Amino acid sequence: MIHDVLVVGSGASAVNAANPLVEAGLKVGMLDFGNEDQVYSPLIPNASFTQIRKVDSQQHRYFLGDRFEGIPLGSVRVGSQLTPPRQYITKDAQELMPIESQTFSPMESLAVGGLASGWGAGAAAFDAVDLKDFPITLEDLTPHYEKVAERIGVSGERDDLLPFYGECKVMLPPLRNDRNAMAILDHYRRHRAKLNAAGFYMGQPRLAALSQPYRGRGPDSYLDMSFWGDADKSIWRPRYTIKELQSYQNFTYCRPFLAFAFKESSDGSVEVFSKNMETGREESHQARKLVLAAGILGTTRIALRSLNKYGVKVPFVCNPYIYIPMLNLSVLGQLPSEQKHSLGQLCVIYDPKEPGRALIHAHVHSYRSLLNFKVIKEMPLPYREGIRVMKVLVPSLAILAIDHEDRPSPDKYCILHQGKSGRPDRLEVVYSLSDTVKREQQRHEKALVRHFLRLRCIPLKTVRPGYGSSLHYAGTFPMSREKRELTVDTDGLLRGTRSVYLADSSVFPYLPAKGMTFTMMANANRIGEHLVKEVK
Amino acid sequence: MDDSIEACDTVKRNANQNTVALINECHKITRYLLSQEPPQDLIQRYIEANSILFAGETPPSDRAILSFIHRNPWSLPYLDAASALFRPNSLLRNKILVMIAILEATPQFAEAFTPEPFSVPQFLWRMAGYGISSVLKFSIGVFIYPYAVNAR
Repeated sequence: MIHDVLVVGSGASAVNAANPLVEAGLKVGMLDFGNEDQVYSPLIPNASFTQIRKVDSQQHRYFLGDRFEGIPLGSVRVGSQLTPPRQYITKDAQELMPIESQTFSPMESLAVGGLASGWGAGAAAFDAVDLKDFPITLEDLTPHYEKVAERIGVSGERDDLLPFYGECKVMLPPLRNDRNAMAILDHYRRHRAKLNAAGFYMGQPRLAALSQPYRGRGPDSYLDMSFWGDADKSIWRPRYTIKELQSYQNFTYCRPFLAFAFKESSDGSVEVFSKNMETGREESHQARKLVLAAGILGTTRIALRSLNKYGVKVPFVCNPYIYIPMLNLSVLGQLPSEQKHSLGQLCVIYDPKEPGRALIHAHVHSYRSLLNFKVIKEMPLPYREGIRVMKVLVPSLAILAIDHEDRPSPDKYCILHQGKSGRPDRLEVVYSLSDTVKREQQRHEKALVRHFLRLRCIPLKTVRPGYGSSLHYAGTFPMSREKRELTVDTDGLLRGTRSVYLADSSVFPYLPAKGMTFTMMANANRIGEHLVKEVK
Repeated sequence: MDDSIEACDTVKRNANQNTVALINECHKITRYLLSQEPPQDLIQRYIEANSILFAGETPPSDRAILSFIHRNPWSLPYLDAASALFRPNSLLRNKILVMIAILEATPQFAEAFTPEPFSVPQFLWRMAGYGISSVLKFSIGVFIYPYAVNAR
């Protein structure tokens, strides 16, 4: 069978690239490894976190895991939010796609829906300034932001962040804030003039989560169980779109396949080589066009291998990320909201108002449903006191998560090394920030925290989980108007090929501080629509 | 043949001894953390967690600390306090953390981890109390810790 277009991957970019192709009637195949959680999700009752804690005698199975994999021993750098029911997301990845790095802790996925199966649902669009160094403009992306928002359902508010996030015509009302976040927002409103003058803006996050029923999903039932399951289907996951696509005759979802290379024929068609994980045999799939959207590291591996670019450095960027637990004095001694959602409660844009405009993007989360013991572990206290301190602090704990922008530099790159004696190829990631950049970032973090003091939030500790912890990786085959090797053109066509398109974050030339996922999806939709014209 | 039966008996005896030690450990830790006794199913869960998470070789210093606590159960809070500062990822701290996780994920003990309302003076009073008891435990633990590590 020859597909019109074959999409490799099933994550946020893959499904949004596939969607316009399928709707246009093209014969589309989606090649995926397709891990799923078969163990824990059936155990999780459709009840609130507090209710479950009081009554479910089986809760230890999904909260801690049958092999206690939910208890983080030692120092955990990346993925602490991956609870046992979410750990299938990274299953098999390290074994089948080894990565080596001294400085960077990456995460890859072979799950249906990729990393977006455990995504925090941030759906902030890039603005014109964010896109300044992209070869495409906001006008190019705006219609695709709208289409993706309509497809996945985005909630939010037209508030102080509107100038940074832009208009979204199909936006649903925002999710309800919990008591902790409402108190912070109230203080912000009181001090708005001064804070805005200092470049500090706060508002509701744009979330790919539903505040009202939409396309057979949601709304959020405020059970605070989003780290554990998707009972109400409020938060968009790529598998919902795959299910919609499967209702079309011209769409085929193929698993379990691990794609590893492609080869172009003289007629311009593409052959994709993959391993059938059921039979262990190598198989090939043919298509007129190929879309690689296997997650940036997966895509990079496939492209470098196919182009025989072993040992060649390609650029790599990743949003530097830290988090700061804060004590919100305004809610000290109050009980937490019984009904709440588990996602980011508030968003902050901090504009240091310096030339070059390196904005900082931050989220405020309330802590509860990831369980106390994970925080108690980090306290330098005897555990008996730790339990009691946490019991007192948890309702007023606000976690400030800060993302910085990232630009390519000679200290950040990937190299593919050929595996020897039957072992898989290894992707090496080298990543470090210069002292100047680190100092700048720390200066801005301090300034941001000073503004939170005005909102009656006291920082307790700055946690630097290490490079890679934002899970926002990009930039290995940057989109460029210059016809350079190992880049893509503005339509995502991989230079040196006639039929291979990249549709994930590998094409972003740099990363603004705002989460990249929504833009990645909009760009994938744009590439999908371009391919419709190409193929038809 | 006789040798293999004897070896098998030794393995069984060691396994039984190990299980008894884990049962005692579970009681001691739960008593220390919540001043309560663990029910049978939690003891079983603790044993299972130990067999999965701590199956590897134990470093001599960790072994020494644990056997010191077995001989001197009163020292647990002080050695926990000292380990929190000196070796936060030690076996002792990890074992207590596992028990905390098991207790927190059990309906019977959920209340010990669930917030309750309080006034600001109560907050200050409680925090001062926890601070003082932590400092006291640490001060004693600092003296016991080197002795426990070197005791065999």
